[in-house]
Amino acid sequence: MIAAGTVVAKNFLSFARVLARSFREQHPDVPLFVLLADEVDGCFDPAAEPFHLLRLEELALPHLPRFLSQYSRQQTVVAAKAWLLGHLLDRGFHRAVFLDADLLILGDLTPLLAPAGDPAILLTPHLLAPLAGGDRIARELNILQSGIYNGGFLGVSDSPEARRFLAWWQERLYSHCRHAVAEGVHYDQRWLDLVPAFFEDVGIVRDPAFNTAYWNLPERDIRAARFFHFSGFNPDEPRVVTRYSRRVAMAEELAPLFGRYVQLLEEAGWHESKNWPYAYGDPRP
Amino acid sequence: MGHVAAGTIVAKSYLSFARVLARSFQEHHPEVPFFVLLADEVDGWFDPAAEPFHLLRLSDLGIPRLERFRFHYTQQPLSYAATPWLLSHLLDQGFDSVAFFKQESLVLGDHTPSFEKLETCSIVLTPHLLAPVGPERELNILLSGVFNIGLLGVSEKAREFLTWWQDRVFAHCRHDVAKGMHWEQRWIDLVPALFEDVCILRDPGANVGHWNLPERDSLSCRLLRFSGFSPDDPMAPTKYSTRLTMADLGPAAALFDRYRTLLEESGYHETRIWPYAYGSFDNGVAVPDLARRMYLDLGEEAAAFGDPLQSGSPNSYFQWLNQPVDPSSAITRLWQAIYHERPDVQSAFPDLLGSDSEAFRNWAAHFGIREHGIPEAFIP
Repeated sequence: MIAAGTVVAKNFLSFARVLARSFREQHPDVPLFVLLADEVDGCFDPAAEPFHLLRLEELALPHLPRFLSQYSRQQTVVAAKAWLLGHLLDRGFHRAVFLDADLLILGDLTPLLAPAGDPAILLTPHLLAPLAGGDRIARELNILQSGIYNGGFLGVSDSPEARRFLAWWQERLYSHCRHAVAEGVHYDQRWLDLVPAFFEDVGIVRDPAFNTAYWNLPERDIRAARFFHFSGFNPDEPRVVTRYSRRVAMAEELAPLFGRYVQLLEEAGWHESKNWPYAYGDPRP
Repeated sequence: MGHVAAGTIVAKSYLSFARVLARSFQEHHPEVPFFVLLADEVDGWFDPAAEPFHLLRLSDLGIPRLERFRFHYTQQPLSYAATPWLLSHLLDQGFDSVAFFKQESLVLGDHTPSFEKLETCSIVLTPHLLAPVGPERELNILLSGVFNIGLLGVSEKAREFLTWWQDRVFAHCRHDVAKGMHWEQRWIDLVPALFEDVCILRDPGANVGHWNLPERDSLSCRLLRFSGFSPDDPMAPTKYSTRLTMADLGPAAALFDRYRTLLEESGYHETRIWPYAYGSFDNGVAVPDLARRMYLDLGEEAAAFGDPLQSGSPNSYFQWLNQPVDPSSAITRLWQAIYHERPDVQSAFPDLLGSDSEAFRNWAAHFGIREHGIPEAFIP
């Protein structure tokens, strides 16, 4: 039994809906759970959603008020994934994958859901080959600053090694899910650089079909992408590929995919849900 | 295990380290040739034929733009940056696999397990840490690199990796952790993502150093690393961290003591003062660190100077540093660069090229040269 999950605050509910529907088209038999790092507060009806809603209280997350008080909305959403994966294993699934809410599933994810060799931990690197061109060094340094493996996808098996990994990652993310590049921290993500050293049986997915995003464009062929990661994309600025970089322009081959994503988000209630308030306040809006 | 070789890199003031490493390696692998790349010149200070290793020169390695490369860095970083060229040279010589050991290391056991891995692996990496040790030490490793370059193995399948690493460390073997650089080492964090058949040797005996002590069993390890240890400060395990004292090290303390004795028996006190050949211009003036950074910042424009250590020609880099930034001013390029690095000096002398010019030059001659380690030949 395999499960997938994502985390959102309710202002990103439309992203979770689009992810869930696109995932279900490919994998109708795999349940997708959405952890709400927020409160429903009557804004929507969980029973009517195309996914199983989970609340933070259902996770084994200790001292929840303290956890919530130290983090912004974005930090809470990012950090909670480590407990979501643990929860899915606790529910009895023998494998679980985390999918960022800003993913669009475009093809068969079986190599990630049921990977060959059943590795305890499965990671997708940002880059799969040396970069070329005048900005090659700057782009690789950017990855060294933010993390080798992308936090938008993660797979675990219900194994002692994956449980050890999750216990360690949870401990780090409880207090160190921050953005402090000069200190070696980039939210959840730089911690993952240590995973191939700390744990046995780590699978590194070196298939360019997975986790195509602005950081590996234009090297990747988006027609071959089985999921696209719209990291830093804002549907209200549909001509900007990502707010994190000015390097990648909305090229001709990208525009149809981004246009389709905007349409899906709008149909999924983007304009309605984007202003829903964060229940735990946000010291840094 | 095929045709294998091992090697290290030193400047000649670290020759005693190379001697100790070579001898300790040969005790365990008498059949494997050990090469020492000299990131320096011999200049008559020692007799290569009498050394317990095969000496290689930078000029043997086919490093492109070598005169520029060796000017990019001070002594120790140059020895780090040369690593991928040593490895590719030994593969070119027909060895099937090559093990690199960093200079301040003592081989204490048989490295056959690493060589055997290279029959199928392209690259063998050894992580600093193999298990969680707490956030503070883990963050330190995230800044310096997940893998330790004290031991690195490559096979013929590593050619693409070596070409890539050479390109990156030609001008980006720097210590700037906020920008993602920690000498040659942090680049290696990318390796399991970028290349095929990379093997991570999760063996607690493969590579032991201050970063994984006291957790590791130093008595049964195959390689003990003395990163940041100096025989002149024998009670400090490493200058890079105050976390450990010799008392914390337990049985490893005796190995540090033994290492110090081996270095001293190998000529540590004689060799450590031998001059670095690329530390001065050919007129004997020491190269200021800032002059190297300015040169790196010039990028391809630096090619116009030819060998930057040659000072004689009017078009030399030395003369360029000493030229005024504009014809009506006595402020040279070197001193303008120092000025730009010093907000306090800028406040004291706001009109650098005008009314404050003379006062700034007076500061430079009396204080600036000492505060920035600038030779008198650059006094404006």
